[in-house]
Amino acid sequence: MTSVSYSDQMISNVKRSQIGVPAPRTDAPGKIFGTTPFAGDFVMPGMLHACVVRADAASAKLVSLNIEKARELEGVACVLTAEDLPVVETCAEAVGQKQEGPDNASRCWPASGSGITASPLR
Amino acid sequence: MRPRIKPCLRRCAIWAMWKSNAGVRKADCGACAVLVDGVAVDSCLTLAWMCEDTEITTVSGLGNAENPHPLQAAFIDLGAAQCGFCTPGMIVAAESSLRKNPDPDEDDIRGALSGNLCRCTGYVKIVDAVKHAASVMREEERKS
Repeated sequence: MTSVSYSDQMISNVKRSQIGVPAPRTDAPGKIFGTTPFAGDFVMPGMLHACVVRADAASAKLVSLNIEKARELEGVACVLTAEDLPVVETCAEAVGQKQEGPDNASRCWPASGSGITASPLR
Repeated sequence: MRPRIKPCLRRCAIWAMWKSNAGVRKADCGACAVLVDGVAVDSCLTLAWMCEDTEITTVSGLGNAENPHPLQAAFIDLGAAQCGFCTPGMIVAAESSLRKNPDPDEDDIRGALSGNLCRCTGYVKIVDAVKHAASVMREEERKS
């Protein structure tokens, strides 16, 4: 009995074969009519926006950082610098080794799971 | 910073946003394109006040599932959308160019879409879809 029902199932599957048959993408309409949300469209409760500030001089040496004015700006929740990253001494949990750096800094680039120690400003 | 229609429309391009935040304000990818009075513009570069008394159309305004625009139908039928991030800009840019040139050859289409980047690199199907939609639209025009 079992083998009969299996073969019936197989026959109906063969008749429904999709090989060589064009099939519309099920996700296409949402993307084409503009209704599919992308990562940038999501709004989460308490969501903050981040902005990376890069040096405006190429091939320069970073001597010091002054972030006080940025911290005092209205609406700024927190300003993170390299000092807020965890110190990673071994590369076992890091993504790679830095070539050089100050003595008190990490010797390795932290991995995404390493965690950031800073909390938002009060 | 003056408000741009890009954040107003909430359909923006990561690259363009990055560029404009960096102060370059130079459209890179065309994913945020919208029609302003029927002409495709990059919304990341367009200030809101520049659009006063104009009609702004996004891809959602061109058609919907019940009544799709020929370009939208062609993009679905020919599998021209992959990740879909560039798709609204592609359709809007194609619509803008087909209004000027309803019978484009492949070079014309590639030229019209040269400001729109597809990082899935699915350009062949996009060009095929625009070519197909153009013939459908010409046929509709002929009948009407």
